[in-house]
Amino acid sequence: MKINMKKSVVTTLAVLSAFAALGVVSVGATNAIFGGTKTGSTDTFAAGTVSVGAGTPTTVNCAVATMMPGDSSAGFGSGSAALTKCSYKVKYTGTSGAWLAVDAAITGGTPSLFTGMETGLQFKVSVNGATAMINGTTYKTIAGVDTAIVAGTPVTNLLVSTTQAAIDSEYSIDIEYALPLAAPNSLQGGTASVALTFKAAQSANNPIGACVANQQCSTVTWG
Amino acid sequence: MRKLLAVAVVLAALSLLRPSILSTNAGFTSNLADAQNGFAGATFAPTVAPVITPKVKGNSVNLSWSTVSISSGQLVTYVVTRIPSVGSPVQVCTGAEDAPTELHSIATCTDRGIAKGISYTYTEQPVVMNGATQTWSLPASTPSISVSR
Repeated sequence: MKINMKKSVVTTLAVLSAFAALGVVSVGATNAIFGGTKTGSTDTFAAGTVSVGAGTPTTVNCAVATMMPGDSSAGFGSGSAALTKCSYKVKYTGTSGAWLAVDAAITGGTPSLFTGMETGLQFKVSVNGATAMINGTTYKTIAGVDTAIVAGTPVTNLLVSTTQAAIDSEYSIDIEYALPLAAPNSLQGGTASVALTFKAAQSANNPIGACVANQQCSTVTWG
Repeated sequence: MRKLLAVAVVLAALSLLRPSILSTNAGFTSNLADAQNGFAGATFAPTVAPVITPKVKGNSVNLSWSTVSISSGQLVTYVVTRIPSVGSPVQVCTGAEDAPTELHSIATCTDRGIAKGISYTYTEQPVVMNGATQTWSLPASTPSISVSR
């Protein structure tokens, strides 16, 4: 009997200590007799948000078929300038300050229109008309070194700006493109694709370091 | 009871671990992926240049072959070559007067430069021009049957 009671007490204590440790039970909250309470002002804590959404006007995805050497989009700067650029419209919708970046994944079929050479498909990817973060077949590292893009290996963390994004700020990530006149016969029927990802990361406690706009920025933790 | 105590200890330990798990969070981030943007190069149809059919008519040879198109819709022209049994190949069917014409998917032109006693074969190569620059083409057709005056 004494042993059973001792067991019961220990059991109860164990359970209570476990719940108390998890913060589920607030010890003392049941003491109401002869008690007086004074409610102070409420301290509230609300986390900011980091979020991205669709922008306006509507995104224009490209499905460019039957390209020929000399074909290009209007803003590429050479070629026919007769085709429409691809335009990814996005918006920063968070409430906290944030850094923004773009990932670009270029892939090629068989054969691949994107060869990584000056005779293959060329891209110029820019945000809101700024300097191209992908120019032809290269991007710049954080050190500003032009680096060749390899089809199938995504280019990540291309910084949009060294200024924190403001809420509801809109961005147009544009892809201008061209197939040079010198594109060889081996590219007939070739294919390539570009997929973009728009990224935001909190700027607080996430220093941007020596990053430069329109270059790769891997010092920021992008999640 | 030992089991219960063990559970209590584990739960308590987990509660202590919880802050350190949160502290490894990389922070607030958000991503939005775009649909893919696709690009495809044009193609010829057929993908092999048709063989020329030559027919001798007096001092000239009438040449005909099936036309070739390209999916971009651009004009396909042809480089027609005469290959003599003796001597070097020569491009024929050139100039405004002798350039190939097309009717009902058949291209034709006439070679007026053949000589007696020499046999000839012909090839044609479909090409697309961008201004004065030749862009894409197909490999030249296999040589036609041999003809002579």
